[in-house]
Amino acid sequence: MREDWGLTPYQTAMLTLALVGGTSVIVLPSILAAYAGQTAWLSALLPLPAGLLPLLIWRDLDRRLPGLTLLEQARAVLGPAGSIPVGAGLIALFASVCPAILRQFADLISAEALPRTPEIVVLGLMMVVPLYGVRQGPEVVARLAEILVPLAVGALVILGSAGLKDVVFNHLRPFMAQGPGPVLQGSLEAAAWYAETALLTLLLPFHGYGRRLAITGAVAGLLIAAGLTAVTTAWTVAVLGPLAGRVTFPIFQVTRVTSVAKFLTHLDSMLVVAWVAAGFVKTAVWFYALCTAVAATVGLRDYRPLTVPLAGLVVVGAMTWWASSAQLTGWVFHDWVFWGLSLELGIPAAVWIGALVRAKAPRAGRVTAP
Amino acid sequence: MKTGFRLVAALCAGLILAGCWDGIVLTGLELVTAAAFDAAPAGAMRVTLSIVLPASLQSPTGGGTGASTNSPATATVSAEGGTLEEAVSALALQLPGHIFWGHTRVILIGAGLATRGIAPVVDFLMRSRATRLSTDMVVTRGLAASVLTASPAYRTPGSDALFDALRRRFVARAPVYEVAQSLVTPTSGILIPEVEVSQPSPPAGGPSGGGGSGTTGSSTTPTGFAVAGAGAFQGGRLRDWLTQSQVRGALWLLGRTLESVVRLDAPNGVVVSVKLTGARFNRDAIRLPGGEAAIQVQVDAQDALTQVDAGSPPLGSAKYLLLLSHLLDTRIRQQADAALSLARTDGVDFLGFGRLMAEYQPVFWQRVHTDWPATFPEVPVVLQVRSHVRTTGNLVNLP
Repeated sequence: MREDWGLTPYQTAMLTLALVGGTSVIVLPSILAAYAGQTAWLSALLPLPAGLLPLLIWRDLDRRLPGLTLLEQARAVLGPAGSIPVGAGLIALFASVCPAILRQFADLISAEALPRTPEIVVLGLMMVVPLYGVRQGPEVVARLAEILVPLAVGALVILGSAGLKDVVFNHLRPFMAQGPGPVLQGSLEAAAWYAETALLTLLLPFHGYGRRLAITGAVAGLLIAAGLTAVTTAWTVAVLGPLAGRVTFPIFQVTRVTSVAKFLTHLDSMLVVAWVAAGFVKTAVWFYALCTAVAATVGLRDYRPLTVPLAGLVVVGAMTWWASSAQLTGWVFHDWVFWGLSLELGIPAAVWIGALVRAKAPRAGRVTAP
Repeated sequence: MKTGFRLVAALCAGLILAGCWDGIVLTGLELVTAAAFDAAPAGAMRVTLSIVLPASLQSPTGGGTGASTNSPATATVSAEGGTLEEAVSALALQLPGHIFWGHTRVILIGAGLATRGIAPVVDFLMRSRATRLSTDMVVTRGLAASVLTASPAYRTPGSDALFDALRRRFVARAPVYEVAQSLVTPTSGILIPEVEVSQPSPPAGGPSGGGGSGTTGSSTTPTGFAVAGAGAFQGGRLRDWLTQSQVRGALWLLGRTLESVVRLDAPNGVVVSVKLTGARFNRDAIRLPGGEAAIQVQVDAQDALTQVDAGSPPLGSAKYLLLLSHLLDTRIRQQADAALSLARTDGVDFLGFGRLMAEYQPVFWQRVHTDWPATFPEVPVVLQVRSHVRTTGNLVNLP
């Protein structure tokens, strides 16, 4: 179903920032520190090309097939039969990652704020806002992003400033003590996060200010997200030192150290509130992608009837697929990098190669998704 | 109707998300201000908590936060268990409310447990959701619980007195997360401040014990405590004790500023006291001309003369202040040498030299890091001290 609104560059940037940075800021620092130690911050910057690649692919595809989402482009390029594997691949990606994101945020809330609340209640309530937003359409999700994401980033910046006195810059030395290998290994993990920009191929066609500004907004969001992840990683390592790779949700452990004038403490609760708000946006974008992918693949004109049952399945998946937080961490650590990277980069690349080979572009005017 | 339903649903969700599910009201919390961990027989652990009595914290006139003079501000509870968590569970059975660790200001470790190993305590504190990772850890020579029963006259609750003493810059500090860092890198040690209990002063007519920390009291109950020296830990176990002077020496080598007063015996019977007002440090691992790896510490200290104890020194002379500066250099070297000597004898790197080697001489570190405790005593240390007595206060001289 087509939407009548246009995504502003600012909304694009905030959506991208939430999409990539929503979990990378809270999860990646410990993963990167476990691999690269003092040089972990570099691992957060090196994989930027993995985030830029889907955007470049979309730019070229949009020039050939303007105004179409990736699934519509796949149908136009590969035909109805050829687009089925593309749809199935995207559904597999979205259906596996949506519950993982929901579970990560639920684990965060359980660990930091509501340890006694049953997990199913936290998961269910965490799904309510994305469900409501997605049912209202991508415009609501975009507006949610432009309000909530700056608040989350602002909270992080304020807490970072308050915690500067606890930073020990020597913890960031020596540079590349173990050589480039561990840094590159860490980069591979971060690449899977940055390549989540592939989801924008379902949203960027709604741009309201031209392709160039849409891309500019997305790239700006990606750069801010990578910068925030790098700074957060450096901050974590500089405060926690060798502990950085051994704690869960490291940025929240850093805020447990931070105090303002030895009086204002427990600032982690402030960050939880702000970052969970950003988590709503990230979950909403992935959930929107899941709903539209399923609708397009099974041939529905409107994805909205699917939202409630799919939200229920996502909650059930988040509840049951990982028996413990350790299992989820293991999945993110070992499986997500290959699963995520191959689908996030592989599917847009396959459609793009198909478009190149067939050089088939519809004439101007929007094509309605079947 | 639909909007009303949504509004009610949103409010209900907000209530649950705000923690009203299984929520605990404030009055149902037992606020821990200090916790003491001691070794118990047969590998067990004893946990003693100092719990705030909120009613006693209100002043008799109301509205204030000063302590009532009639009733204690805190209560002490204690329990034993095979593990720390078992002991805490046993404590929970003694208390009507929910134990809340979020206001814990000091963690005390008894010598017995310190010798056995403090890793379980650090693990508990790091894993806990409520504890502040910046909470100070201290160690005692006897039972840590005895500090919690001390009742200093000058500040209540006693844990606040201890916390305030640690906050001032006269002692080294060891927050929980730094102790945890030392556990992650077993080759590096850490200094944890030592607290000693002050016994009651002798009855009237006895010596006042000038310079001590005792306060007036009439019973044998400990009346206070003072930060004495520090315990040197490696791998989470207590290896040795340092005097206050050795701690000062260690802090020079660690590159940390510590407010301290140094007595200087100058020529012609002059005795003066100088106080450190600031310092800059540079710590490095270098290669000596012969290619040998060494530690280099440069200290640039600024000091103020705060008192003339004996003699009539010419403090208006810049040359004389330079002489005092050189004397201070020597004292700083002596203190640092004493700490270094102890670290070498014990083979405990509480000076963070291993970390320096890893940072600045990674090739050498790769070769020796597995055997660092044995290698560390052989590593040369180059100490360069430059002191500057910059001011004599508001007075130049008295005849």
